[in-house]
Amino acid sequence: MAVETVRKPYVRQRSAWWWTKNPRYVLFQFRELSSVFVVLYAFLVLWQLWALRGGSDAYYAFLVMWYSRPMMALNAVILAFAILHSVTWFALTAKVPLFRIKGRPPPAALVIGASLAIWVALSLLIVKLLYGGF
Amino acid sequence: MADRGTKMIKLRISRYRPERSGEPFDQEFTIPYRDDMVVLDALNYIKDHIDPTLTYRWSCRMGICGSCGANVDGTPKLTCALYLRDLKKRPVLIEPLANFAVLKDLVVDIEPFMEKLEAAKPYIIRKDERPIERGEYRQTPEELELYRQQSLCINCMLCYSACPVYGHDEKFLGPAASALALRYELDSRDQGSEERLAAVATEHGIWQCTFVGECSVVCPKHVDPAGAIQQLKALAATRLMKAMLLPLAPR
Amino acid sequence: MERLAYDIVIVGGGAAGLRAAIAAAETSRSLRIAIVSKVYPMRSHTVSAEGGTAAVLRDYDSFDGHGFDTVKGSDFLADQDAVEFFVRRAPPEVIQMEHWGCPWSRDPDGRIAVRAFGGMTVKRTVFAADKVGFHMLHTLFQTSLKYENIERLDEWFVTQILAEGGKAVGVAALELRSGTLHAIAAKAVVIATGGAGRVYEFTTNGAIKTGDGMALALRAAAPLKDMEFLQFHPTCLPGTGILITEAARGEGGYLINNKGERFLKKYVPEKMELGPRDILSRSILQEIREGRGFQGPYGQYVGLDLRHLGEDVINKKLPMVRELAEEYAGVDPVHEPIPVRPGQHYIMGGVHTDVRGSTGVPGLFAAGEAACVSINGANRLGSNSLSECLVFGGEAGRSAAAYAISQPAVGSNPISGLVKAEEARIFDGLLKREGGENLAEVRSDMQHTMEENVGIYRNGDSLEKALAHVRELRRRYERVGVRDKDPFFNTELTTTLELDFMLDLAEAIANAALLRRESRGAHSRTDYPKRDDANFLHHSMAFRTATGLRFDKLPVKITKWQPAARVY
Repeated sequence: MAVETVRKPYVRQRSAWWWTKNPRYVLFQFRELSSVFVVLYAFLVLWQLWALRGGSDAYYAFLVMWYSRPMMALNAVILAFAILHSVTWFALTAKVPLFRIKGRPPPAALVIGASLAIWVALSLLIVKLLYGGF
Repeated sequence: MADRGTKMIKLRISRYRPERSGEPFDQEFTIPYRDDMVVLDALNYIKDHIDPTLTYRWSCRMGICGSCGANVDGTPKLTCALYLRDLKKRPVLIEPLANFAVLKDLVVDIEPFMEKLEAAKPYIIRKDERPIERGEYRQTPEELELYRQQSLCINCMLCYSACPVYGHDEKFLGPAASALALRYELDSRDQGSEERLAAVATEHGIWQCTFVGECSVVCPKHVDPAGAIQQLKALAATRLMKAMLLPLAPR
Repeated sequence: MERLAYDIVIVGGGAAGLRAAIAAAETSRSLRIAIVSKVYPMRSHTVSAEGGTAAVLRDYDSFDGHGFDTVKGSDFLADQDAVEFFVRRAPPEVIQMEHWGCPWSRDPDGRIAVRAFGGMTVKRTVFAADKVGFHMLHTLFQTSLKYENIERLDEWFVTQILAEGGKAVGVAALELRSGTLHAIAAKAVVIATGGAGRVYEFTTNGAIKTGDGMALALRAAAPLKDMEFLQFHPTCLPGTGILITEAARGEGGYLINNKGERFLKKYVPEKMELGPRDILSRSILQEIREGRGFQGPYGQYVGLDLRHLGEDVINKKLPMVRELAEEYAGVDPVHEPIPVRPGQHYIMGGVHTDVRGSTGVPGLFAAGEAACVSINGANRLGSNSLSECLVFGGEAGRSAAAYAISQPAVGSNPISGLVKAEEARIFDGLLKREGGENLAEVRSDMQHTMEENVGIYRNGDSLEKALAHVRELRRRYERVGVRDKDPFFNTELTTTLELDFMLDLAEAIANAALLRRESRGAHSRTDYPKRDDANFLHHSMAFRTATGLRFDKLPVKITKWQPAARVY
């Protein structure tokens, strides 16, 4: 007669390594991770300012540490993550069309290319201001 | 069934039989292979000739009804639009769409999406309704083009299956519902932006999206839900800024 | 068992069902309406309609023009009062869809655009690229979410219309995700379950189109009308049967044989590719029989050539055609003709209704492909069916609402009693059945025999054969066993129930075809090749009786267009 059935939907547990299954997930995880390094760099700059306030000896000690191999390595890692973060961020800008050409959003490659070009130009300008010449 | 000499193909299908066991299990099937077979053909072959208890959804078999999504070799796909010849791995692994609870075999519970879709207010909202006798609202082909892409969503749920954010937070509005919200936001006939944006720009709404972008990769209709969410964020942010800077200005 | 009660139950969530639900919801906010559908509404087969929706919107057009084209297309079997009603109601429905957000394609000035279509003498087919059904369905579905008095019972499979004292008082429905049979009380029931293409082997129709509502209505004492008239669409992909829209020809595509000739000049010189579907399908078959088809792995076919349209037009107006041809035929229509052959597409027949959607059984209404008003007669014109879903879906919704308001509440006791026998039939009978017959084999035998014997051409012998075979299959069906014994989400059980429905319809189709000893529209009898107005200018009505089907005649209503030779 009346058949009553209660069936439990099965909820699958996601493995902690889910992001390793797809290269785009890996890239995403690294981008998320990049924010940690960006924050870390901010702390390093604060440390630098703090050292500067401590006078020339303190700052000299800081610089010795700064140019040590481990710190150079850390900076290289930070730079890599910063570039990853920036490039993926610029890739995203194309998703929000601020203007349209003949009713169509501008091609993504153009937006991303232009953004990257401006970014590189500004970076070079800063380098030039700081160090002069090339 | 198969003549000798017929090419065969092996599939491994994830089964869940709640009446029998609390856990899903894999089952392998070997079936005759044709070069023009899609994954759905293989499922239908199994159901018709080997195991009628195999349970999955399908209907149009032409990539428009959105019923037949499954994870094939780990990637969300419409099984009616995926040729076996394009799959490299053997056996072919067929699992229910990820991030949804499994009801039976390949059938998943999409009720959470139905709720989110409704929450996104996917319909024209008008302050003033023009009488039918006065004809249509004019809309140029360019105005139509603004929202055409987002209007192509077939609600197949592949994007939810691909979205790690949804996998992490089941309350997340998610890609398809957001894309459909944008579809109406960008429609020149709509006047409901205020309430719709308020409905989607929430804690579990569009702000949850961290732009993995995989939803747009798997979308079979090129709706680009990831892009849609970023556009919604821009719209919501602009609205918020205007409200802060020009508190008395009409929005 | 649980008991649910609504004012109106709508069976089916496609264009007709959703339109009916919204119309009823707008009639009165106090009406409680349920859409009961075996699939989520956005999966309904309306989604696969491609070409367009006919409506008189332009100054150059007229109601009489649309009306006459429709009547002529129907080979004068359409009821002309219904056609006149239909053509007048179609334009406001198209505008209403526009107001609800349907992304109709536009002219540069912002007006709704129109395109040419087969059998229509002027451009009057409104479209949304070539995904018209998809856009209409999603617009209707999303709009329906606005109405608080529309509830949905998604993935509920209706097994029976409950009737008492000759009135429909609800439905019995299997809730898939609980495996429970529910009695749903309703003052009015609307059937909007679409067509029955899956009775055939080679069809454009999706898996869900098993004619459930027609069989349900027949069992609830409502007659089926004109079941012998099946439409075979001229252009389907060989192998899968996937539809390539008529819009491809509306936009200027050619049909070519293996000599590269536009062979239609021999058959419909005036209309060429824009001739009506019945004539085009026969012409293609003729061309193939005379050895001018192409040979492919799935038999002979002809070519649908769009190359001269250019990539831009194809992308803008026929994107889905390109998508489907590339995906499912491995052919890019920009560079190659698409292989096509005729396939079952639509059924002109269905549950008999008047223009208000009433079936004659109090409380029972029908609309859309499941119904037969009839505006389509012996052959439907392309792009009239979506308009039909809107016009008569809306009409049925309002009629059901008016009827429900006039009725006292349905008591719970009779309903619970009525569904007991149904529970026993399904759970004790069907679900527990062990048998030697295989569901899929019986189904494919049915599809094959219908394809062979009740196809584009039929004759007395083939129809007798089909009828006898279908009756034999009915006996075999009784021995079909169900292996999945768990009632929860049991798609083996529901496909078995669908086969049960389809066998009823196959018999009605073959039987009606046998009785119509003439050729009219899509019904081509090789033994009676001429139209015979003296004896057959009438609808055929099929009633279910204890001893089998009983057939009757219903005169065709003629208002202003006298039957004349149908020449294109």
